[in-house]
Amino acid sequence: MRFITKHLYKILLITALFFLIAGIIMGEHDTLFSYAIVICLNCMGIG
Amino acid sequence: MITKRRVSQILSVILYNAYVVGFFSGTIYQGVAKVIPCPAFNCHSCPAALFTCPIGAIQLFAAYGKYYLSFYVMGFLGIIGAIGGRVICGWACPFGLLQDLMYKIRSPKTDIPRIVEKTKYVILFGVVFFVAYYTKEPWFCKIICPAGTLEAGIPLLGLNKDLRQLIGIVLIIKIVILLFFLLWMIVSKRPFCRVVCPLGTIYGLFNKVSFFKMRLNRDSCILDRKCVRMCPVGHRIYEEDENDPRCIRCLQCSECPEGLIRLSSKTRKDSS
Repeated sequence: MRFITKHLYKILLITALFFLIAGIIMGEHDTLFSYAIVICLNCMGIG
Repeated sequence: MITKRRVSQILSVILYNAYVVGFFSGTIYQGVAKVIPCPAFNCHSCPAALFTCPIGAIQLFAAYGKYYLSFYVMGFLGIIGAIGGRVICGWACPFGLLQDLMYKIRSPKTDIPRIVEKTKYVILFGVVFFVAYYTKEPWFCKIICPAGTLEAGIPLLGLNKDLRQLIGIVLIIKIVILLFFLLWMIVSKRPFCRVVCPLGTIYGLFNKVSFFKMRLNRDSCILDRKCVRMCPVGHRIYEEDENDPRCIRCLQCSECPEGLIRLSSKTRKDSS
């Protein structure tokens, strides 16, 4: 337990890095791009 | 006197919204940078925005993602959080800068009750995650988000005649909410960050475990409360957890006359 608390930030950082890489492999960045290049009518209050 | 933090905030506004051509064309940037989530709270439908709003993305994946979670976005935010906690809020958020500047307007001031600040968890887990998952609609963006109204709604409707025909009651509601927050920003310190912002809430979850942390020498504190007066979010660091999720890591409290507060990394041995 002490090991986990002492190195928690490293565990979180590595986990986040894996998440990022997994997201790229799954193509989530493409989905994000397709979403972001269209004007968000919801954000503007007219969607 | 302009501080390093103010310079950083201004540079972040310029960086996140560098596509000024959008203000002349009445459209948004559609280039490759849109694949990157913005680390701060900035609407991607702002005509000048280069990056994607991470909160909009989280709702998109909560509604339609294969696992209802965006590994890409959460990984991106997690890397920043694991290193610095809520440091982006203090140093590189355009909406944070707006709130800091609005608070400078002379007016009676009031604090926000601590219980009200818990609303941000309801917004994050309830509205951004659960409501988006259940209704397949980004209700945080649709109704609550004042950044979208200010940065996207008003500029694009002003620039784009075709979009003006779509104006309805929802925009009126959003403008009322925006005006409410703008007025609140004058009388209270960073109300949006403390009560609503789901992105700051995510980063705040990392404050207690991040690589960089705040350290306070409580034994030598003389309780002059200068740290609270300097703090943009009114964090009572001398009596609360110095790495409370509220802290935006702006380091203004490190100007403590007694030198009792500092930012420390995990590799640095504590002398206190």
